[in-house]
This record gives sequence, structure tokens and C-alpha cells, in this order.
Amino acid sequence: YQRRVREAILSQHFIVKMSKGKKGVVHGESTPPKTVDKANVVPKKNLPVEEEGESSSAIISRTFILVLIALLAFFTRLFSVIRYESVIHEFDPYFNYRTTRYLVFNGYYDFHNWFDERSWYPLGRVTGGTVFPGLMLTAGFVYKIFRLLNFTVDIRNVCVLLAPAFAGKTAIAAYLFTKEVKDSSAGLFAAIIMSILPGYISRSVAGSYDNEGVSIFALIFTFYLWVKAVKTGALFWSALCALSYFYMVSAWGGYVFITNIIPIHAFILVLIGRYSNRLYIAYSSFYVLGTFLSMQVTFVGFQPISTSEHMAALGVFGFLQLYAFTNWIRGHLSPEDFRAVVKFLITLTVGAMAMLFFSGFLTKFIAPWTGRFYSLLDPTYAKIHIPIIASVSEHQPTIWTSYAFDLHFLIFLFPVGLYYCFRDLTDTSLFAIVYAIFSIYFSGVMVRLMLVLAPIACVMTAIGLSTLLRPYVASLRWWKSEKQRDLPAIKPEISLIVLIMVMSLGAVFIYHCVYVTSEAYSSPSIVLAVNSPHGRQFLDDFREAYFWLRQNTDVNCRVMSWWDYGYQLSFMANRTTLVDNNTWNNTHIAQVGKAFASSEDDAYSMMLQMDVDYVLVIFGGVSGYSGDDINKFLWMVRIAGSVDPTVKESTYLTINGEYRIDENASPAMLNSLMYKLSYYRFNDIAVAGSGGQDRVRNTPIGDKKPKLKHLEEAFTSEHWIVRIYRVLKPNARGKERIAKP
Amino acid sequence: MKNYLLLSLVVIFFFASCYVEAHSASGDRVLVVLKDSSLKSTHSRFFKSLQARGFKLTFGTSKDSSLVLSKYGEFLYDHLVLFVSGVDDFAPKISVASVVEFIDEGKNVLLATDTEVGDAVRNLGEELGVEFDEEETNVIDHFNYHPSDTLDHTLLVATPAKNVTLFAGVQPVLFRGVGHTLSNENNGLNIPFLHGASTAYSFFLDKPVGKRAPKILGSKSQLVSALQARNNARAVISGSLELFSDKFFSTDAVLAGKKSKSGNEQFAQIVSGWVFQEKGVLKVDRVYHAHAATGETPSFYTIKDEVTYSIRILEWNGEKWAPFSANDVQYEFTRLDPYVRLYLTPDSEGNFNTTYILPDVYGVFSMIVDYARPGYTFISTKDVIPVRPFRHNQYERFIIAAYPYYASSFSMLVGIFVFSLYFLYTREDPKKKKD
Repeated sequence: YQRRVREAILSQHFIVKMSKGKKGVVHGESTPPKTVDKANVVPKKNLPVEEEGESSSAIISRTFILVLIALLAFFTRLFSVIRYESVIHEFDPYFNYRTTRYLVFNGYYDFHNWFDERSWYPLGRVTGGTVFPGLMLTAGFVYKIFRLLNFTVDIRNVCVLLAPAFAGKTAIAAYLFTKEVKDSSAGLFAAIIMSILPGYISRSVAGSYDNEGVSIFALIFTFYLWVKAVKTGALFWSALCALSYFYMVSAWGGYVFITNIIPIHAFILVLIGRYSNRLYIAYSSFYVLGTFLSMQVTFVGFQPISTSEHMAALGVFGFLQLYAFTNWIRGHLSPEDFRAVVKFLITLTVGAMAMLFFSGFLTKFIAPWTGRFYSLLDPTYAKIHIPIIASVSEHQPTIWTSYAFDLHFLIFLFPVGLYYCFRDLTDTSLFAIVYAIFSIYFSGVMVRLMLVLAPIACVMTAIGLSTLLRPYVASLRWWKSEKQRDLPAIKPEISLIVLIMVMSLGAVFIYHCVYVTSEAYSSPSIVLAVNSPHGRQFLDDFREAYFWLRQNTDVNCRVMSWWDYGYQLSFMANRTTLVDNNTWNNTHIAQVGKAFASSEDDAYSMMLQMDVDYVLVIFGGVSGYSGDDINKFLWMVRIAGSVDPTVKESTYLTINGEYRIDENASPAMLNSLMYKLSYYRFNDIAVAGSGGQDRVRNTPIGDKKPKLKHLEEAFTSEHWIVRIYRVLKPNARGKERIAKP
Repeated sequence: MKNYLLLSLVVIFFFASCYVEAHSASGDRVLVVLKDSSLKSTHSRFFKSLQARGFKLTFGTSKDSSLVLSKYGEFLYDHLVLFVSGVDDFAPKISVASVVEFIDEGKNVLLATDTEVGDAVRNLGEELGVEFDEEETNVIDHFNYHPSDTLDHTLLVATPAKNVTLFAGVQPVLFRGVGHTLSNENNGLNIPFLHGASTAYSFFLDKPVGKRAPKILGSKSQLVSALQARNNARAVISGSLELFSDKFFSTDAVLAGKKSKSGNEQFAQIVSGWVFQEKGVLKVDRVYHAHAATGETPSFYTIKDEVTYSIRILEWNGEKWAPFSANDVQYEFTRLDPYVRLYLTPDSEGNFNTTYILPDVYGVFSMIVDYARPGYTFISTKDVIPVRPFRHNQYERFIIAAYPYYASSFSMLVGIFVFSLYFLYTREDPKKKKD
């Protein structure tokens, strides 16, 4: 078996380095392969220059550079901590933080079996089984290590700083990956770009304690190990690859990307005649190990063998077995017999497989693609069928400016790198190509997947830049050398000019990155900063309101809000919520949406049925905060309408189909609970005569004095961003209440 | 020494007060507001029966400005009798709003009026969910009138509502006065006690029916109705003051040619007993749920647990809380929809029990007993308890269906071991290999 592997390696026209460092082209079986070490089998065309006889100073300096890059990646992400405070950001991180605390204080088994009765009232959520635990386990592990060393760190700070710390590791992973695809100088380029690229910083600033923070590292590292495994054909590397894949699966649902990219790469390799036993070993062992490991994650469970997203990996696995089997038969039979056997085998297996898959789909054993996956293939799918997916801003298609914003000059050098990958085509560069092409498409479909594009953009740019600059740098060396040889093809002066230009481009890039990081991506979004004539002003309404709830309401009371605020409510206010950002039950969310869209009387009976004690709405009309519930209201209507067809979007629009809140607004809009809760008493603080000017919509409001019958105002935050209403108990005497302004 | 004297006096007064203690479950101080003081003598039998049952009556007329319901934020009375009509306020210092507040605080009101009605009564009625017909209208029934009233047919003979168990065996009741309707019939809080026959209607005596249809018709015309509020306050609304008068108490009733002593005295006694919380008063003494096997009450259950639920309901029998007995008390185990709905089994102690197996559904469930019967205090208890799925180690460890898989994995283990041995300790013949 081992011999067969070696033969396969040798027959693929590779340069094999001998143990003494000599180079020689090996054809066929002419050289006894006894000294061949898998690790130093390297592709022919992109043979690294510096790998050869590398001085220890080079290694040291490269290590030093990498450490600096990792530090840079860490520190550049601390803007939010310095400018605001060490605080968890946004929405999902609050859930992750809450679960991490639970893990740290209650132990793993309680975390694993956690049934959270305080969210999704009254359904509850099996949190332990519906969460990707990788992030929490990582943070918990880091925390435990620090505690073990008697550093009494706060778990919050561990969570806040986890993403920046992993960003450093991502940069190093990017270096390793690029080194495998190209060489280590390109790797250094990739690392430095990776460390400051806005597209990745957007999800990994301090406080952004989300799955992506650790899983982008896992993604790149898995790819690095995969490439390494394909290159060497070593069981060791593919086993490591499977382990890294396991970590990725445990950390982020985006692992499906790996599950599909790797088989596609393998399949393409076979198609273009680059099948090798290395590939066979790498893929087979990765697939089997990786699948078994991934099934250990409770949330994933049996999905790898039962859902469509994972079928490509299974299919390629089977295909590779057949391919290897036919190859083996070929060696034992005459060509005629072989052809007959192959024909028979192909019809048999293809028929059997088709039957199997068909019956699998028919019996629904193999689940069809999920909505999110469909919307990747067809960007308009979600908007039509699943409003809840389309309603999330990060699921919107990407606008072109965000490419420039997130990638800057990488969009120009990306094709250059792609070109060089095609030119010096190897198994590994083919992987980079496949990854690049798929991620470009996906990033165009969903804003959020820009994150997947960012690493390969770095790698491609680094390859392009490094290959472009190599002749110029080489010509500069002429000065350093003894100047006895002939002038190089490019004059050193021209090289100098070119290099200075590239450096200034780099400087512009760095300036852009720092600017974007500090201005756009470091806002925690629970504290809002506003630039006013009096300087920077902070609106801390969210925490003010959540604190009020925590201090002034019964600990078991139920708060209804739109699902965006569920995670924050359950952690910061510590109150039971009806729906939250884990949008697992569309019907329940639709019910809440319907309550907000209904008239107060109808909403009241729904709220009584769901035991609602308080209602929380976000309102920006006073402060100008545009992410408020009135702006999200149409999505509530759509989501409610997707479950209950009696809720129609058109009734909330004017006759001309406009969404308005002024006097032209539709009656359904003016009577909706959301409208009343938002604008209740709004006119009281209006400047006399202005008629209640809404600062977000920039129009005077339609119903100046909304009246409330079944709810009463309980709390309104300083800038009116958060408004909380108490749901009144039914009158003791059964008397209908009178609406009060 | 003085202290001892004081103490013994207090003790004596305490026992004395115990002795004459009312039969009500919620206090014995009654304020009686009369239309005019003559009612005190015309309705003396009714008031005497109240006093005989231990109530301490304070009388006043609706012109009496010294009457107040509360002082320093405390109510001075537990019950209120309003025998008034044609006034804007029940007394100078007792407004409709203060009576509403009195009820909202869980106190009880007996309201009786006549054809004069008046704003105060009308507004209070509106707050209590009833609507009186216009002033000067009478309930008229040309079929079920008392023989003595041959002219107007306004002296009605009516039978108390049959679905209210309190009135079992009560003779027909004489009624003369204004009718009312229930504004919200379906809320379950307003209960008809005495209503007109299907031939009854409500109209002015001096105007011919024709131009305008009567507002209140048939059996919807309420003569006496009750309100059992959600906070267990009670109110009785009667359109007739005379119903409680000595005269009606001693008049014979004639219904369908059958002559009998009028049921008014008995009816008045039952109604006043009910409204002042002597009768039909229930309370939940204890709610208990636990694992059926261990008897421990956990903070959460697991699906498919066997659970015991028990609720102890007591009834006020006029002297003490005695076990309540009924066989129609239902229990619900609800998560938005009821998953389990069972009749509870009563025992002699007033406990209502059941043992059942939780459904295979997790979530936050409510254990609900909602017992609402006309004439009884509404019982509504709700205990919220999470039901969680199995822990990872609560599933069955070995299942028969998986035996092939166990077999395959163990055979794999053995196979690897054997093959490793084989590869380690056998050597291919080098000569053969060369070929």
C-alpha cells in the first residue's frame, strides 16, 4: 500500500527534494523512493526560493514579524474598548455571553442540558442542544486557564477580548495557508492584510463576541490543513484537518461552506485529471473522521447524513471510492474487459445511487435544503417565501460600495492573484481558486458572507502582490550584491520607484483600515454615539431601560418585544422573553408580529393568551435613531402575514403603496399597537406648532394623540429610544376600559 | 394593676365580639344608605334579619352628609346596602366613584332601586355591567302578574334562576320596579338571579306601546342580577325596593293559579347572605403538586414524569371553613393549549386530586384550576412550571434497535486488532515482492 502511494506521488511529475537538499526531476520509478519524506514533496512551479537552506535569522525574523502582526491584529481591534468600555456588543453576543456565563458557573453538563424556560415563553428553548458550543467552550477554557494561573480575570473581559485574540491567530493561519498555496513571503503579505482588513474586523472587534470571531480562524486553519493534506497525502494532516473541521463545526453554522468547498475541490481535481492517491487518502480520511466528529455536536446531530447541504460531501466520497476502485481494476484487466466491467459497474452504481437518493428525498429522510441555503442559490427566494430571513439586514444582498469599503485595494489585486494561481496551477492553488470563486458569489448574495470572502481576498492579493514585486525586489538586490554581474532586466531605480508606489498604496490601505475600524466597526450598538455641535454625545438608553426592568419589575414577568431585542432583554434585564434572535419558531414570531400589527383590542387578547406583562418598543422619533421598530414594522407585518394570511401588508400602506406615518397613513397603520406605543404622548414634548415632528421619518405624525386602553406607560428612557408599557389586568368588574390619551 | 384590668376587658370584649360575630366570611360592618328614613320601618324585617345574623348596621339617608365610606384610607365598612333612587350621589360624601373603588377593593354592595332610578344608580349600574331602563318605566307582564294588581300588571311573580343552586326550593318572588339588562352577557361575571318571563317587557305605564318598541323584552329583562367580580367582590342589583319590604314578605304569591307564601323573605335572605359573603364563598387553601413517586415538589419537571396535583378548596359554612365538595372541578395542564384536561377526584378533606403522566412535550406549562360556577366564588389558580426534555443521561442506554450497530462497532474493534497483529507479525516474502 505504501509503495503504491509513493508511486502515485512520483508519477505525478513532482520535484522531489533529496535529504541532502539536491534537486532533481524524477520520472516514473527511476529513483528508489526510500529517502522521500512526505513533508518535503513540493510542487514544481512554485518552489519557494527561501525554503532552501534558509538561515536561522530568516526564520527568527519571520517569526518575529508574525508575532508583531498578531499583536497588531489584536490592538487594532481595541478601539471600541478605549472609546466606549469593555462591553459586549450588539445582539447575538449577549446570548453567547449569557451562555458562557452559564457554562462557566454551572459546568459543562448543565450547559449541555440547559433548557432555558426564560426565553420563547411558553415554549422554552433547549439551549444546550440548539447552540454551537465552540465559542463558549473556547472562552470558558481560556477563563479556566487564567484562573488556574491565578489571574482573576472577569469572564466578561475574556469574552470581550476573545475575538481580537483570535484575529491574531487568523492572521497566522492566513500566513500558513498562503505559504502552502504560494510561498512564505506571500504568506507574510496575507497575514498583514488579514490582520487589518475591514471586512474581517467588522466581525471581530473587541466586544463582538460572536461565533464568527473564532470560526474564521477555524475556517482558514482547516483549509490550510486540507491543502497540506492534499499536498502530502499524509494521514496525519488529514486527521488534523478533520479535528480542525470539528472545531469549526462546533463553533459556527458556516461550517457547511467547508463541507461543500472541499468536496468540490476534490471533485474538480479528479475531473481535470489530477486524481492522485494523496487526494484519495486526504479526502477519505477527512470525510470519515470529520463527519463522525461533526455528528458529536448535538446541534448538528444526524444532519451530515440526512440533509441536502451535506450530500455533496457524501457523493464525492462515494465517487472517489468508485474511481479508486476502477483504477485498481484497470491494473488487473485487459482494456476490453476493463471497459465492459466499468460499463456494468457504472450503470449499477449510478442506478443504485440514484435510487437511494431519490427514495431518500421521497421519504424525506434526506431533508431538503433549508431556506437559508436556498436563498444562497437564489437571492430572491427568501424575500418571497421566508420574510424572516430576508428581514435580517445581514442577509441582504451586498451593495457594491461595501466591497470597496471592506476590501479596499484588494478588489484590484484579487484578479491578479487569481491569474497567478491559474498560471502556476497546482492542487493547492486550485483550491484557492475554487474557494475564491465560490466566496465571491456568496458574498454577493449576503452581506454577512463578505466575511468568508475576506480571507481569500487577502490570500489572492498577497499572491498577486508578492509575485508582481518579486522581480523588482530581486533587482534591488543587485545593489547589495558585489555589482560585478550584469545589470538586472529591470533597472534598480525603476524598481525603487515601483516599490515606493506600492508602499504608498499600502499606506493608503492602512489609513483606510484604521479609519474604518475606528469609525464604522467599533460601535457597540447598545450605546449610541452621536456627533452633535456640543461634541460627541452618548445615548445610553438601552441599558437604562434594561436596568429599569431589572430593578422595577417582578423577576418572572414576561416582556414582549420584537425579536431583535430578545437576547439583550434576557441577559441585561433578566426577564422572560417571548421571542429572541434565535429565530427558530417562525409561528411564534409571527404571533408577536401580529400583536404589534393589530389594533389594541385584538392585541390585548393575544397578549393575555401569552401572559404578557410588559411590552417594549424601540422608538427613534425623538433621538433620530433610525433602527427603531417603526422602521422595522413592515417586516413584522410581512412575517405575521407569512403565517396568518389575514394580515396583509397592503393595508398598512397608503393607496399609492407608500409607507407613511403622517396624516396620509392608512387606518390600519394608525390603529396598530406599534404605532400607538411609539407615538403615545409624543405630541406632548413636541415644539408648539410643529405637530409632533418625527426625526427619523422627518414628517409630522398622523395621529397626534394616540389613546391607550389596555396598556399604560411604565417607562420611557431619557431620549425616548426605549419605551416600556405595562399590560393592565382585566377589570375586576368586567367593565370595558376607556381609552386614555 | 390597671393594665391587667384593661387586658381582661379587652379579652372579654374579644370573646363577646366572637359571640355575636357575623356569619360572613369577610366582616360584619354594614352601611345602609336609605332613600328616606321611612324605609327603615317599611323594610324592618329585612334589616332585622341582617342584624340577627350578626351584622352591625349603620343607617343613614342619602341626604346625610356625615356618611363616609372610608377614613384615612381605610374603609369603615365591609358591606354596603344602597336602597336609593332618584339621586345624583348616594350621599353627599359617597359618590359613584367611591362605591366603585369600594368594590374594586373587594367589598360588597347590595343595590336596590325603583322606577325613579337616578343618575347615581344608573352610573353605578353601568360600572357593574348592567343597564337600567329609563326612568318611570316598569317591568310589565300581562301573564305573570299578581292577582291583586289588575290594572297595570306591574306586580310580577317571578321564579328565581334555576341554574343558581342557592335558590333551590325558594317560592316565587314578588317584584315591582324597573328592569335592567346585562351589558356584557358573555363575560361570565354577571349572573341573573331573577329575570322576567318570556312575556315580560319594560315600558312606561302612561304611554301606549306602538311608536317605540320596549327596550327590554322577555327573559332578557333582569329583575335582580348579581356580579361576582374577579377580585371576589360581590354586588347584587335589584330593580325593586319593594322586593325587600315587609309588605311583600307577608304577601302571598300566586303563580299559574297556585297560591303560596311569597318567597321574598327567603329570597332576600339568600341574596343578602350571598352578597355579604355568607354563602357560596370558596377559598383555595392549598395547591400542591409533586412527583407521584417521591412526593417531592421540584422546580421543574421532565417530560413523561408522573405528577400528582392536588388542590384543597374550602367553603365558608357561616361559622368556619369546611371542606368543599363537588365533582365537577377540572384541571388543565396548558401550554397555550391544554395538553391535559382532567376531572379532579374529591375526598372528604376538601382535597381534589389527580395523578397523571406529563405529555411528551417540553415548555413552560401552567397548572390551571378555573372553577367558575354561578353563586360561588370563582376559583382561578395558575402555577407556572417548566417541563424540560431529558438530560443526556436520562435516555435509555441500550436499545434493541441499535444492536446491529453495537455488533458492527465491536467487530470493527476486534478486526483492527487482529489485522494489526497480522501486519506486525507476518512478513511478505521479499523475493515475491520483487515480482
